[in-house]
Amino acid sequence: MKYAYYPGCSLGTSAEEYDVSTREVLKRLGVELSEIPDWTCCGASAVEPVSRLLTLALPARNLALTERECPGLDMLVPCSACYLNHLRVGRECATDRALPGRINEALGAEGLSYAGKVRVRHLLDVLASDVGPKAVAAQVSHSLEGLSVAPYYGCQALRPFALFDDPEHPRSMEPLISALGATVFGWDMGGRCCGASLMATRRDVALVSVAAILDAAAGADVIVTVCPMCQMNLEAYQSQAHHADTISVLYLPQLLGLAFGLSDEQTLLDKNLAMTDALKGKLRACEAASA
Amino acid sequence: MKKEYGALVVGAGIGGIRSALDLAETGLKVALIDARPSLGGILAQLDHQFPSDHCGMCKMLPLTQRDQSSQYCLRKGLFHKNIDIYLHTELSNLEGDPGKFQATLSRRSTFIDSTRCVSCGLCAEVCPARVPSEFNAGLAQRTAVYLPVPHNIPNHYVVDLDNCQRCWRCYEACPTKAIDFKFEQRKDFHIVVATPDEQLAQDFPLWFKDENFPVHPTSSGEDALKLLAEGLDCGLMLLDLDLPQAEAERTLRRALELRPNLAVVLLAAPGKERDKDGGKDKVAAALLKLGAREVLAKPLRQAQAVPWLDKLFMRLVSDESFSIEVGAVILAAGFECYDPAASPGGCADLLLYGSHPGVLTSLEFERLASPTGPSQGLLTRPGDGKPLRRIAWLQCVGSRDVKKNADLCSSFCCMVSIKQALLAKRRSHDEAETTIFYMDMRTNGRDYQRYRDEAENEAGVRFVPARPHTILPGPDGDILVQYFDYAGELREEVFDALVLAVGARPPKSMERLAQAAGIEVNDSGFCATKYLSPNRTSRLGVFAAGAFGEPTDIRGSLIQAGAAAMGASRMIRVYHGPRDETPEAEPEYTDVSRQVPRVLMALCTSCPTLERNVDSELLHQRMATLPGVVKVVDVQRACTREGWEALRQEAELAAPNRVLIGACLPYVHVPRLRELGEALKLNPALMDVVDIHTASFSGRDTSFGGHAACLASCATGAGACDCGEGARTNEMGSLLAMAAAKLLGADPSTLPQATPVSPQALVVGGGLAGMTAAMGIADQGFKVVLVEEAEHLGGQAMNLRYTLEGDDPVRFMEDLVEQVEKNPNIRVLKDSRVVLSRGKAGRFVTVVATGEGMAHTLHHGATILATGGHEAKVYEYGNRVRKCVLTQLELEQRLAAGSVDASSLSGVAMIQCWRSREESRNYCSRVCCQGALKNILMLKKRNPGLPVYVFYRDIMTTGFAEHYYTEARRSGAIFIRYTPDSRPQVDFKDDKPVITALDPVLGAQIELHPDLLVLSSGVEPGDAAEIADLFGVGLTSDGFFQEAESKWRPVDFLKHGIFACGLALGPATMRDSLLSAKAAAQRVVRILSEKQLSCGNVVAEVRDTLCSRCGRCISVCPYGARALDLDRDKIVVDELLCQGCGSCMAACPNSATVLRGFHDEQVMAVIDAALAVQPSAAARL
Amino acid sequence: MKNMHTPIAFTPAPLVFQDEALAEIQSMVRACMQCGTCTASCPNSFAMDLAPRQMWRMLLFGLKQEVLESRTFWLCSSCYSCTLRCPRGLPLTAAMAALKRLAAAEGDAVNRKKALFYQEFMQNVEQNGRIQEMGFMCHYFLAMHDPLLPLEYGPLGLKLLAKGKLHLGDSTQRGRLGPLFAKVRSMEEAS
Repeated sequence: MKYAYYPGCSLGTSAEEYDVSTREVLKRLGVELSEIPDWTCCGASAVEPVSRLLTLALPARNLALTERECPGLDMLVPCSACYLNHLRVGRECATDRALPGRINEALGAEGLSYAGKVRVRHLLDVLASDVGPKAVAAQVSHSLEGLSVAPYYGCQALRPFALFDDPEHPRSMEPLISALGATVFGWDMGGRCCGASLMATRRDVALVSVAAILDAAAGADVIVTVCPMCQMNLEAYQSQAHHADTISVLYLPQLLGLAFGLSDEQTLLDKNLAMTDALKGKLRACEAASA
Repeated sequence: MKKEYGALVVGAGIGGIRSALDLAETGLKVALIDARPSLGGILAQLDHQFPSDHCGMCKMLPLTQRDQSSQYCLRKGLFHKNIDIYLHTELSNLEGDPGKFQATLSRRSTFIDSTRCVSCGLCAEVCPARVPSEFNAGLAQRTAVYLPVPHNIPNHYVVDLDNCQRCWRCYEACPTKAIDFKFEQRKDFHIVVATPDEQLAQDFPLWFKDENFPVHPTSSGEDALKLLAEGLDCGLMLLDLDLPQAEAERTLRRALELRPNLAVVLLAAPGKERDKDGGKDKVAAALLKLGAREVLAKPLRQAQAVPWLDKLFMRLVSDESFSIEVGAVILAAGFECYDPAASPGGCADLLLYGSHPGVLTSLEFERLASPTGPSQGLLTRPGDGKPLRRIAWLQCVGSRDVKKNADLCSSFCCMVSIKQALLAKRRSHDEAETTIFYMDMRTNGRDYQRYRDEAENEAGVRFVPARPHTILPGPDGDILVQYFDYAGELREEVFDALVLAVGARPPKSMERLAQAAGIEVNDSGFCATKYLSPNRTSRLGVFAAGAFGEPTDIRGSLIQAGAAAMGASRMIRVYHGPRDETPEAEPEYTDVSRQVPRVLMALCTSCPTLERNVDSELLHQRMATLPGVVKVVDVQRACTREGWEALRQEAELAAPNRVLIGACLPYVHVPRLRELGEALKLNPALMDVVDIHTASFSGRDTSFGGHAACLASCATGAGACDCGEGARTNEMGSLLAMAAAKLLGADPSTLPQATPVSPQALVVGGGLAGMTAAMGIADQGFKVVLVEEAEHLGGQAMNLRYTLEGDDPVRFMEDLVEQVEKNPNIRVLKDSRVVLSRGKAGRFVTVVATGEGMAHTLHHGATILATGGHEAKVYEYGNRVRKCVLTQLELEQRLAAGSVDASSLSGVAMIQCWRSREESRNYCSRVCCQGALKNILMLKKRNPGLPVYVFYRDIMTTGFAEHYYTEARRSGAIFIRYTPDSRPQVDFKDDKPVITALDPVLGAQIELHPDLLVLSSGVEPGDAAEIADLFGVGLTSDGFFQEAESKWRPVDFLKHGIFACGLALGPATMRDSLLSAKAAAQRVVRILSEKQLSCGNVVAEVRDTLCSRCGRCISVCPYGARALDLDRDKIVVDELLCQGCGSCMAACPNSATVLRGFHDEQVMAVIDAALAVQPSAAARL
Repeated sequence: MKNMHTPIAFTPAPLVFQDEALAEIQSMVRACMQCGTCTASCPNSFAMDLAPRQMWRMLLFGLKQEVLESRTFWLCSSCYSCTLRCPRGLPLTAAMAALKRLAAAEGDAVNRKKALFYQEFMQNVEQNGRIQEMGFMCHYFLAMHDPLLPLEYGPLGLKLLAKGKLHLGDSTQRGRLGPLFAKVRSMEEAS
């Protein structure tokens, strides 16, 4: 299995641990990544309110690079906002015949052209569908038995295009969590919005969503997520959301890494803002049990 | 020899049954097939039908010549001498041309011989399999051997092989050896395996040792072919795709050359059966195209391969395929209810369907409310049994949803929900609170709005215009429904149950059927038809009936089906030349009225269960002593051909003048009685079949176990249960004695003279409907007189300029007028009116006066009234005074003429339901919404930027018209809902309209200054009072013609021989009028195609001397067969109309009314026979 | 809701040619049948002054200024719940974004300020090729002229800094997107 890898800007800065753990876990699972050379920002969720054409042209640039540099490979994207931006290009081109022409006219500024050949895949999609829980279970050396994990999917990996999971009641993370020996925490907030960039513009509103999600997670040991924006919102604003008990929010590959027995440098747990003592204790207990 | 039929009808739901009956009654042979193992389609599951809230299917049965079909409850079965029914059968291929199609039918075996099955249920009792019951919409379970519809007669069990566990317990349990799993044929079913896989070659013969299949493993295609060439009678070949591709292909080709019927199954390595995109692998796909049957994925495991192959074997040797020749084909395969759980992009999660027991589909609710349903009709919640006291209905689930490829309205769900809400009210003694959430309540039938109003105002059903968005599990297993009301408030309500009003989807087999029949489907997956030729499919000679072409309700289905029958009938006549002029000779019977009664009693002794339970010797002795009985004979298996042959011989020897047969399932024998009657020259009315079989099972518990235990104890003689031999013999003796008494009392005199038929039709009204009907009759070779009041043909449809679908109605009407005027069979009388009409079905005499003062006297066998209607006149708001106020029709005409220039307008406002849907015109006019959409789209086409505002109450775009509603919204027209309590107010300023209204979405007043105000004024019937009076037919309170029964006899009048269609029958679009006209034409052809009309054997008579002319019998007669003849001062009975129901007899205070063939003495004698203590029984006591 | 209970009087004027930017958004929601599913699905609707259903309606009525005065579309967090659930399949999230663009271009000072976040973000992208979170936040705070804002986010910044997450990031792609931005700008101006 080989993919063209688009890490996206966040993974280079504030979500470094997502990037590192993704690369390490995939390596362990025998998945090869070829980082798209010369990739640039896709505009995240800020571009659409600024320019419609740019909304498509920025990701199209990366897609065009992938077509040229990594022919035949699916593009693997860990960040949900980046994933949707790239996915949307092909979807919109399919319904608007004038669009490919306009996009290519813009890309012409760099001598690039986009043919619509790349299939865009979310990291979760690849883990759940291509790799599968069986292969994941085979790598588990430190079972996470006794750990209650709340899967949090966020929005843009699921909506508006329902490709690999139910956009209303997502479940694709559950077999993976079970494969690690951990327990899936039953809740229905997995697809609920965290407020996204409202955290910057209307924090009071975003905090309502964050509080609702955190409240519902009471009883779980850890929340796992597959989006840097969600991770930041859920993790960094716990005190403002008037949430009494803090709860750790890990990236899914970090959790996989723990079960695979990867080193601290490979999971970068110390980069997480809210590593609770409770979670650390649980992890130690897991380790002791599997040792 | 290949069987020949006039028509093939695909689908035996009500649409198919209507079409089949309409054709069969005109003397055409019909093959009626259905993919299900049962008749009746979805109606078999529905007990309550709007508006009577009862079942009324039987009303569609033939009224005249009714003894030709053994007529009773249509939900239990259908019998007609001209209809052959093939169930579990699908159309697999259709070749040839109209008039001479070759139809290939494939019938899936039920593995139960229906001539042996006695429906004892022992097989189901031992079956270990449990799957959701289709009949109960999944609310209950059934076994793998089961009765598809529990109330059918005759009823036979069927084996659902897919869910069979192959335990063979049913086979062992069956007392009549009716179940046939072909055990004996396994040893002769050779299986050749061609595989390079040595392990597989070794395993295979071992696996199938127990099944007795001879298996011949070979390692190459060459070797396998050699076996075939050597003459091995091989039934199945397994071909491994691991063989080189060329070899596999060659082997397949050659094998099929050697054995064209050989089943070849491909074995594919993992991943090879499917390629990357999920489709079939290319090699496998190519071979499947060449004729391989299917692909089986390797590696094979014994536990799966053996049952799979064994079932395949059973299918191969039991299923059959046969061809018939037909003149025309009618497709009436109906629709499928939308399944929120199974459909892709479904909404099961959102609606909690499947995860919450209180969330039901409307079909499941029907079953819940049915006495034959899983809760015996108690409205309780599945799961916890809580009585349902707060029920909500959610409209448009799976309909009107472009995201689910449903840019259509399913047309029936609104009325279904209202009916169900009323049913819930009634069942709970008004305790249930019922709420219907809707977007538009589509009450677009003539009487539907009043039904809704009654539900709302009198029964207290709550209607909430909202689309609940969130359904959550509530406290105590209840359901929490959240919605935004029109005031913009988020509301939350708790219900015990939520019913999803699921819409219509094309039948599951649509793709297959469309391919087999060679027809096109439309974007929504239904059969493609054209707006102005609504029954024609893309293939000539193939017609669409019922809901197959467009979702519709029962009434619509029946009209569609009648129209399709007209199309097929016409096609058959066209290609087969003029009607065969030598009709079947009526059998002549000996007059036995002066003979002493001589009863031959034949007892069927075939049933193994009977033999075990009855002392047949004692029964014989006892029967021989009954008065009039000359002989008692035993017949082996009366239900078989041989049995009847033996019976016929006995009868010829004994020469009786009465025949009584003790057997089972009397209805099944009726056609045979007719044959027997012809052979003996004895009127079948003097024969009877009494059901002694059911008696032998009476009192048994139908639940599992009860009967088996009882049978076992009887058989061993150990038990003393109430089905003991003595009791049984007595019961059977009583039944036979009662039947004998009834036969003795039967009136042997010959039937009254049949009415000869005048082979001509009268059509009153020369508009779209009248002309279409006249053409439909004339094209089938009958003379028609068409009477039109005006000086030109055409009527109301001449005012139309375009249709929503883009047809050209002007040209259509011009063509139609020309065809009518040129048709040699049609005589057009313009400027003429009917002045007098007398007579009855088959023989009317009508006087028509022309404008020049001429009077024509017409003799005709049937009449169609198509007197039409017109746009309702409105005078408010200066319509007709101010140029800026128009009706929709006026706008259409002005747009067409160019006198309204869309590009110069700056705004148009429309008000829908203008003075409609409230007293005194409390009905939906059906044409105004479509008319408005038509004008909106035309305005927007000419001036896309033109603001158009539509004030509406409910937009009534049923069926595919919904698409144009979506289009109109998409084009930018703004739709603003109003209620009768808050209507838009219209003022004028500077001679321009100023409209103020509340926009409920904004919760604010808006003020509009359009330069045109368009009123949807609706339609009114023409003044039909005089015509109704002349022909003795009824009118509704709105002045439309009153049909006999709004659902089941939609174009008939109570008075037989007179039919209605078009706008005079109710508000109608052009398409509606075309359909009702064709359906009415076919009803007329049905009468005209008889030489004479005869009544049934059981008909009411009046003994005038006893009659006090109180008239009670007239009002109770459900068929309108009775009238007071003032001239002769007598109550008269129309014998063709009388169906022998006996209501009049019960109502008559003087016993002046009697039923011929069912009189008092006879009934008393029957009761005496029932009460008589039987000698031997008395002795035993 | 402001002014909504007094009659709004307006004379209909041709909609499509009057205002292209508005017409584009109108065309996105024209097929709306006012079922309210969008409003109900929105996690942020509690904070909105106009319910989305009302806002679409006002757009269709051509009440552009009234819509631009509302804060509703600024509260869209692009969760796509409404887009997913809309039975008419309307691109409602995209319409919200289009309204943000319209407000930035034609709105008042309040609107322009609200648009700043997105514009600053894209400016940073244009300069750096990949977003430099640290630089972007600094610019944003400056641009907002709100002395309290940096304080609100201060504690978080410190935390991120402590975790080594607020570095400037890689600058390999600086200026890489300049030509593409320029081209897109010229194309959008031309159309």
